[in-house]
Amino acid sequence: MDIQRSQPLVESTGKRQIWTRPSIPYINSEEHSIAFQQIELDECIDPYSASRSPMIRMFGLTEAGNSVLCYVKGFLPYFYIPAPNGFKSGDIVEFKSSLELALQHEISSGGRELLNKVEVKLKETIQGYHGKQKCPFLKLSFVDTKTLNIAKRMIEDGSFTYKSRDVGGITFESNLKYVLRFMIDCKVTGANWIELPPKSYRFCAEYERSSHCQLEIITRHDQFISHPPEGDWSKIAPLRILSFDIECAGRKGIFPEATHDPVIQIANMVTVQGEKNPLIRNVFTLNSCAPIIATDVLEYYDEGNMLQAWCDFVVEADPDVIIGYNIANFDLPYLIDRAIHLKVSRFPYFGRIKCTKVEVRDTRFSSKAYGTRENKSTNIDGRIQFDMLQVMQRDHKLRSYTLNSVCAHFLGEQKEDVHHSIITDLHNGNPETRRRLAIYCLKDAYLPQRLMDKLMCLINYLEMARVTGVPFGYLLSRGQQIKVISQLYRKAIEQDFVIPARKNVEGMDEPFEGATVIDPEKGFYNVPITTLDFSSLYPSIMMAHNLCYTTLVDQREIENLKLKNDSDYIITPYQSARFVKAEVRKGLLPSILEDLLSARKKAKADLKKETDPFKRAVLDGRQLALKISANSVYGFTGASAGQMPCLEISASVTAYGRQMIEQTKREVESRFTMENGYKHDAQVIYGDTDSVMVKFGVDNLVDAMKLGQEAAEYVTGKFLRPIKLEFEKVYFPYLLINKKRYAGLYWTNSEKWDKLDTKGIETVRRDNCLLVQNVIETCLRKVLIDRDVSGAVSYAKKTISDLLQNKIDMSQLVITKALSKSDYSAKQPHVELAERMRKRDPGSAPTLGDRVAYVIIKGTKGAAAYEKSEDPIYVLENNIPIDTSYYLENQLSKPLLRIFEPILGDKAESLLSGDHTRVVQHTTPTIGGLMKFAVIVPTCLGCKVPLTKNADTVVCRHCKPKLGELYQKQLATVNEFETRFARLWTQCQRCQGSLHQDVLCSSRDCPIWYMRKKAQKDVQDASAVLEKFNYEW
Amino acid sequence: MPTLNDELLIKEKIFRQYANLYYVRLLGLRASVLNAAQKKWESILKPNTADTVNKILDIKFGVTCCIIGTVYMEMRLKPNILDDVTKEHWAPPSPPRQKYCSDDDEFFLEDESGRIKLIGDILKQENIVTGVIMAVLGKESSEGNFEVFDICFAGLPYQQPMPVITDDKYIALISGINIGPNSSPALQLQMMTEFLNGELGDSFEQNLASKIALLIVAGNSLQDVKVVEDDKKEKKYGYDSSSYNAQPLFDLDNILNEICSEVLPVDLMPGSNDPVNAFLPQQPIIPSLLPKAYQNSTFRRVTNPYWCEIDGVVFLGTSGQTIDDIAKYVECEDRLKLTEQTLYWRHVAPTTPDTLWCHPFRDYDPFIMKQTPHVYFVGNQKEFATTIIKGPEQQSIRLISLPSFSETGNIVLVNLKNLDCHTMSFSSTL
Repeated sequence: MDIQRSQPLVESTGKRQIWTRPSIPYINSEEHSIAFQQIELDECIDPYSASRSPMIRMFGLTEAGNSVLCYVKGFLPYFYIPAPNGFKSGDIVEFKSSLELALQHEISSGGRELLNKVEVKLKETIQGYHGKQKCPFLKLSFVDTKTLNIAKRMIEDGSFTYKSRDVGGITFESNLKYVLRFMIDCKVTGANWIELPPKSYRFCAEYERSSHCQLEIITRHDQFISHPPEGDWSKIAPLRILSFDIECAGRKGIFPEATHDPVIQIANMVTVQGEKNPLIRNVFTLNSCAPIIATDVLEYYDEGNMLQAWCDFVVEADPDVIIGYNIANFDLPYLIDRAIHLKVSRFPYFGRIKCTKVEVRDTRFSSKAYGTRENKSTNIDGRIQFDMLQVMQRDHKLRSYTLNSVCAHFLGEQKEDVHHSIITDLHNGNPETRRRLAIYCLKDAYLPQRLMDKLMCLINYLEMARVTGVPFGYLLSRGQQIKVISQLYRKAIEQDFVIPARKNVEGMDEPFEGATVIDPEKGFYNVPITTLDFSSLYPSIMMAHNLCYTTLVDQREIENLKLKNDSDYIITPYQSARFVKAEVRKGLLPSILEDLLSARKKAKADLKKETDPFKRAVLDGRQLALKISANSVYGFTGASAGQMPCLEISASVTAYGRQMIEQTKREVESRFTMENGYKHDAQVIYGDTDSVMVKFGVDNLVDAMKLGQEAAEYVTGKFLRPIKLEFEKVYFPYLLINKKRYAGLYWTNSEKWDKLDTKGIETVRRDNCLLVQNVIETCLRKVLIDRDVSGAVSYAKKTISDLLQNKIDMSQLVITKALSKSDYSAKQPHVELAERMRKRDPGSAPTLGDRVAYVIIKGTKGAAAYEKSEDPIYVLENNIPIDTSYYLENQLSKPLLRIFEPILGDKAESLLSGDHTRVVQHTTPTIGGLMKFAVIVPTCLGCKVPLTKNADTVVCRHCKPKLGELYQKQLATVNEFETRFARLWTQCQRCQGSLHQDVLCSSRDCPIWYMRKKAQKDVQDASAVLEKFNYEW
Repeated sequence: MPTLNDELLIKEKIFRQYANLYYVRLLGLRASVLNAAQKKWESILKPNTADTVNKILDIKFGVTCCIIGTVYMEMRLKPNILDDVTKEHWAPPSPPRQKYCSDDDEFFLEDESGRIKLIGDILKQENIVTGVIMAVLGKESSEGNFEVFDICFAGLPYQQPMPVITDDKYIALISGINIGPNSSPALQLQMMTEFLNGELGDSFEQNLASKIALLIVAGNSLQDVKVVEDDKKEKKYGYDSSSYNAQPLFDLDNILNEICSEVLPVDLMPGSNDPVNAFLPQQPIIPSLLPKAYQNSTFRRVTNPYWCEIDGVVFLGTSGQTIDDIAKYVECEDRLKLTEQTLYWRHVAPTTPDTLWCHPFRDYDPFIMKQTPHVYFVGNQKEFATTIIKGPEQQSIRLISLPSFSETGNIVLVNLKNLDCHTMSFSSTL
């Protein structure tokens, strides 16, 4: 993108752009209703209630774009305990007073009531089937969450006794957070619309106002309408999104530290969701800065003033969503730490609540799906934070997560990257250089916004919050489990189930058998291979067999209730776990799944009809969210560290899955035989988790597809509804390398193939160099698309030969790794290199968090790889020879053999040795060990014979007749290099958007970065050689 | 023309970035453009007041003003090495384009302070290309673009007075001899040589030949030999000398020698196919490649582009790359028109270095025209065309689009006396 090119909405007349929101219309709470989309919910204590009772704060905005803070009062936290044996409704008063007494003993409340209410409710525990018998439970409502937690502890550890007996030690639904409890009970989902009818609310009096929101209102938990996100209420309010980026003036060689290095620029873009162009574009700069077209440049001469001004800007512009790239772990903490250091005391108040200080905490987030991440979290009340880096890391598997490479991947453009060591120089220059920096900073502020728009992240996440019913903020800060919990509670409350509170158990993964894999018949198949898939396998197994906490039944209950096998309950393949059938009781999980999948079906159907691109995006985001949610239900039951693991369910699911794959194989192979009148015997060559690959033996796509259709229908008939085997695609040809490793040309119709599909083949792994990826991809394409095996072989050979002759571009050989912590126990190439670079020049050496790029160079014999890593630039400048055999043996050979072995068999080895590996070329290094003693002697350009010193010639006697030829050969080389040089450097000028300024960009992720550097050196060297011919022959 | 040609000779080959070249170009032409703009828009701009001529950054919203800068054109179809590099490498390379222009092209004007997008219908009408220094009159629109009302270039530079020559005296121009690797030089080439040597035709022609004072060879004396990679051929790892053929160069040497030794001076300019560096300005062919011709004192190896002065008449010529590249930016195919434009731009090769590769000069831009030539020829064009341009200060320029000899058999004779110009055709079929 080009800052100067995009279209600002506000004129640059010297007047500042308008920051504030549209003004509020006249609203009378007696006559008008207010509807707003809530985007963030939290709890706080009602400062004006005598009992300091908790209340909910809902932040949101109206369709007109006015910000709203709505306090919801009157909702009290509660949990359940089973009623003690023989409990009667007359016992309530006594029970209440004895628990109240016990609580008063623990908490000095100053005499106010702690236990608000005790009620008897008929409920049933979610765990196990006990004949649909509802039992009395006591619902205990407390005045605040703190009391609730103490009561919970007292009951669980038995320190509270009623009539000298403890009350069972179990609590139900006591570990549900207050906010979520409220949402579930009041049917509020994430980011849905809340409507307050006339007279159901009142405006806060001036003294009650605590926030910067335009409308501050108070209502009660039983007075508002919560609209499910359907129909008209699926719209999205005009959210204000602030995308920002900061620049710091770091010291040479040290990653910026808030206690030393000033913040010098903050670039901001405020965009209204759904609109193309930013509403506000500005940049806060330290020191003067030349003007930028269509952008407000706000100059400050004191850093503290600048920070304060930025804070004021955020408050005034009042964004609902704050985005950026790595803001959670860098920009926001840095700003706050810097403000602390500079003692700008009013800075950390840019949240929506006037007197809540914005603070940074360290959090550790651990999830099976996303791994463990150490993060910083910053509380900005009422504003959603959406760090695009975290989104990328969660949702996409990429080679690199730098903003540059992410943009190259999704937006298809390279971004100028100014290295942080240059930033300080630009800052210390003049207003023009600071302007340069500001433009760079603005670009970085704009890119996350564009990325978000392009990938529809915000919409997809909003839909996910709506579907699963959790607050938006949970999606980035919490794992998958909370989403299932939210849905489970919502379902449970409808059917009077209560959910026991489980103490969190750490780790302890009991391994159980995972999905099955039918052993692959490895090989290269030049016939159509039909693939049959179970759609949503695990969810449909759970639905088909009615697997749920509520349907699990043990032997004792079976006997008690006289249940009959097969008609009343089933026995699953996992340790004979038993579940009652849906006719006896429909499980909660199956009905959650049914809702999710039918909602998905509906969203997909609506998507087909919808024409408005924005609404389409919402629907598409929704169907995706529904799919992910359905799949996470299974994971929830299997997460042993989770809130409600149930091995009987999860292990049964996988056991069924295994059985089904094997049964499918049997059914297909026994039906599609020559005996039954088919032309060939079908053979299942591979099967994995939810799909089987079948070779029907036919040689054309039309037949393969027809048979696939037939087989899918036939096998589906053998299974319970809604399990469905679907025919989706045919691979032709198909290269089956091993378990979970295959490649094939993917056809869904017989006219034109769809794509080249690969699984488990070296492509995105980052400790491979690009060369591997390119070679493998090209070979696969040649084999599968062009059906040219010999072409693939000669391509592989040519690449190997080019590699050995140093003809491969350096960027193809670079391996990158992040320098994540300073002390690695094992020696690693990138760490060692960073250390060596620091010794050479502390200024430009990579620091913690940087990505270290390296190549492997020739070392002494037997040297370990970590000793042979070297900075690619250093290698270029000093002509250091690359260890080409390392690349051949450690990088290329395994992946190459892997794909060629099934095709060529034993002959595959010939790829790696033979004629093409005989010519090897080494560069002569200009530094290092022996070179100190070497005397440089000119050699003949024709035959490399050393020439006598000071000879006025470039060739030896024998090569003299070939001078013309040699000259032209050299000339051709020079011309090639000159063209490269010119093309590369002019391209960089275009990319940086300026002709008159030198290219500074140091983006190592850019594919032409090394080329550019190398072209400059190559052309210089080659020209020097050419110059030598300038004498009369 | 020693100074003008002097700048075209590269003294030290140092490959730095291109930003300096743009900078010195802007610096070198800004004053002239400003001058021309002030004259052209005299009634609108009051000289030397603050809001007449601004730095691009100082544009005030809504105020009509004039800015000067370098044109940059963002063109979707312009070859982009990033695309070539990142494109799936198995896809075949896209063929080079004849034209870069499309409806999505965007114009920018840039100076040291920044750049702004230009809008206005006038932009497409004037055949503008990247690298031109110009002034625009207009104002910033509400979208932050600059709405252009009018455009002004530097205009023709000073031209030294045309000398008075009483006798007919001709300069012969030829380009695109294209001697190939396989055949011996074509018959028409021998006829041309014989004509120049006064050995062909009747007395009229022999008389004409005797009045030719100089032959300028404007590039592409040799054929462009494409080495076609043959995938089927058994790969030889190592150097393969079988692909080299010395014959064309040998033939060229003989022909040049034949002409020079008959006392007709020859100026040999290199072209895109000739064995010299590809960067503009192309440097003289090294003598060792043409040992026989080099023996003659009448043989001069020169640069491309090339300035020379003969009896006070100033010639400027290029071997054609400059105009060929400009033609890709615009829909106009009238090569004379485009050549004329470069005069108004005062720049021989504005598209360097963006799409036309050139040496990264630091201290000066050798392509700036410091004076107006009397004769301006462009070699290796499809067909012969010529016209006379008259400048506001009595300048008069003979423009010549010089066709390729191997395709048309034409050479062009220019009479120094009156700048009349006509072709001589050689055809072996006659």
